[in-house]
Amino acid sequence: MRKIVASISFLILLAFLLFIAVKLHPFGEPEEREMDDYFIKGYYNETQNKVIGGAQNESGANNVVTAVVFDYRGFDTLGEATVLFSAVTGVAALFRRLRRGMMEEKRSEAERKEEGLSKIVKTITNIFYPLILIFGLYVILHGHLTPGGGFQGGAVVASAFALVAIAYGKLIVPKFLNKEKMSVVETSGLVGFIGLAFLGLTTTFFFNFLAVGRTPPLSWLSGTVPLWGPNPGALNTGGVLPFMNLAVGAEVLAGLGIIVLFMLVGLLPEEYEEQKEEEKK
Amino acid sequence: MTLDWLSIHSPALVVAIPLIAAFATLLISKLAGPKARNGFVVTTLVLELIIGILLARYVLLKGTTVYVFGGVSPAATLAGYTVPVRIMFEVDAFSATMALVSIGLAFLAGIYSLSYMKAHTGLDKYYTLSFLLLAGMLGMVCTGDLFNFFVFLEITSIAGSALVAFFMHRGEAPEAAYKYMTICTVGGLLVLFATALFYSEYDALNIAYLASVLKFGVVEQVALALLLGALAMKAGSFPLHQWLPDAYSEAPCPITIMLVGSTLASLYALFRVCFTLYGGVLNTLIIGWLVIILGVLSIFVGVTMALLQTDFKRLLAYSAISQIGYMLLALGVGLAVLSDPLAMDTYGMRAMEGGIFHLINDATCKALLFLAVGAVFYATKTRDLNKLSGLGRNLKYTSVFFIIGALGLAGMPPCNGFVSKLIIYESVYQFNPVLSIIAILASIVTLAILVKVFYSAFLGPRVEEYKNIEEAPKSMLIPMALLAIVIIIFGLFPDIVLGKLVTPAVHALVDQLSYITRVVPL
Repeated sequence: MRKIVASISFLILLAFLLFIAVKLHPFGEPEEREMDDYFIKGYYNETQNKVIGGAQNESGANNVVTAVVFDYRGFDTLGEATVLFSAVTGVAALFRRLRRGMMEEKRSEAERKEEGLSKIVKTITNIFYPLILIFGLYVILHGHLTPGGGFQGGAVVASAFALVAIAYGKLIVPKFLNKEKMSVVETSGLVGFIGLAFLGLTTTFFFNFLAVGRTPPLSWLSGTVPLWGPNPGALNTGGVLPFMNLAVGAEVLAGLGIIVLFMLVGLLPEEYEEQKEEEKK
Repeated sequence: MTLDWLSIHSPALVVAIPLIAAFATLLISKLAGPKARNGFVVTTLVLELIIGILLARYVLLKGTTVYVFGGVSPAATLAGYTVPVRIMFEVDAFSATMALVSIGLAFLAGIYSLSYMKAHTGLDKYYTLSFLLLAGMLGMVCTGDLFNFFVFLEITSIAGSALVAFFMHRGEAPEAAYKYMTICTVGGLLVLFATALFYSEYDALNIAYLASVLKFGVVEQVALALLLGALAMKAGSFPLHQWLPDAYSEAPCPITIMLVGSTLASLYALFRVCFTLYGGVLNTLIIGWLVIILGVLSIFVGVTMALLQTDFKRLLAYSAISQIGYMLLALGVGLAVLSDPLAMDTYGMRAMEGGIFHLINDATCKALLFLAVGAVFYATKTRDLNKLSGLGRNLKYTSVFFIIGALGLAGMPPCNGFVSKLIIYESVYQFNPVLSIIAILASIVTLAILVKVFYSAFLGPRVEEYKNIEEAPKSMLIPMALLAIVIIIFGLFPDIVLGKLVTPAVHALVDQLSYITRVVPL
């Protein structure tokens, strides 16, 4: 009986998801002109580009969401990245004191090999881990072309870490995630982000100094005019937006990675310390 | 030329410097070791202090300053739109005063931490979180944008609660941090919800723009209630003050004084909402009385609870609640008579001057007291008042600093607390004599408590256990000495602060129109 109910609900869910997948819009559609119009409405100087005038001219982004996230409200994005950074640093600070001998239970070598979920889950994880990583990195890299970017992509990459940790058991985490290196990646991402904001200081903090029409000599870098409408998207558009996006991506993937590591391994400090010593040998 | 450039960009730099320092501290201590990190921390704090002073000087010279992030120029508030789209900082004299107070507290805390935290691990994270806490406070007091305010509130909350829990080895610290975190999260969500209400009503987040178009419908009333509740909670006002004694007493002492700064920043936001955001539409008499009642109850509860404490820091934390009450009382009186020009001229402005001056004085006195307690804890490793006795023989400087701070907090003549409390008593008496009498009585009780504590901890017979304790190192004594000097100077020559900083701050707070027109020409 249970099996029948389970398979019927599985089929319903499958049909539902397939239905949604078929009904999805093609990439770049529908063109949400209303959202862009919002920025043009109060724009007195409406001469250059009727379709996207405001956001494109001011930030060099090809969609308004990116323009809002990294240009108009880039400072908020920095703030949100800092919120995540505070949380990660806080977690790291609170787990710092746990040392050898805090846990009484000690596991045998044989038990360790049994860690984690079944072989099916491990196999599926082996297949999906690289795919999730690639997808996450893709989202980060294309963050300035699609609505949504560094933050989301970083979270996707970190979910791959979590998947491996769950499938193989928490003891594997320190083997493929190094806390110190992740921390360097995280802070470098943030330093890069705020550094780009500092570079705009010739005009204002967070000024998009590489955007369309602002730096002719550097236009090959990322200052070419972005295309409007459904198109494959050129990576070198948007001024400083792609670089900020990459920086946020690095920060988020490393930050969430550190949290995954601490939440799973920080609870078993003794075993973690032991593993680190083994690695040194 | 460079000075001008620095001044123009100082609103952005004042937040950007602690942020980049926070990110870089972890890297530097990994690459170059703890000595270089300490040097970096001190250098950054000095730089930050300079930028803070430049900002205050610029604002006092030129009036309210705006800074548009990513705009074509720092002053391009509208840039072609009818609604301000970009995030902007709007720094008036009140914000500048608050920024100076926050930076000053963080500077002293940083110097003090060098010795006080020496024995602990994880210091790179400690300094990183301190910088984040500072950046959060500065963002809260400088920002002119509601959502941006929420972001900085979150940074302050998370960094603050991580720091409260820093002494993980004591079981109480994580518990206090958990309480603080819960309160902060609830408060943050209330602020976020209010922000969402504003955005759905007016399609804008800019405080000045919202103030210019605000009507007083149901949605705005709900938003006002949410904001007042959240900010009063974060400021440690009466009905929701329970997190404050725990957080203040369990945090490391230098962090406690930064938490004082963050409660004051919440208090700032509370008044910014009442005076600036809702200033034009509010029935200020009702809200003013609400704030006054919260203030009087905070004074009363803080003082009575302080009487019962045997833990040194908890006692000070409860007296801190009563000091918050004085500021609420004074500025509440200003709010209540805001729409009555005659009353405003005769005592309203005076009361607000007293309130803002007391805010500065309270920050200095309370910081000095907490740092002195930190020095006691550093020497004796205990905060239990029943165990401490006769410390004055060994801790000579600390006991002198403690009595200066205590006299300041209680409002005795040579210290700055006397001046601000006297202004509050005078002006509040003209508004309602009963309130003034309650305030005076509470102040007397505060004095009695602090004198008793001073007597039992620093005077009296020497205890065998603490016979050979040593005075705190220089890097802990210097911040205390600086605070003591400031307290005495502000007490003897109050005009240097009152005229130059406090009066412009009060005028800036009351003058809603110029705050608005700086962004949106009417």
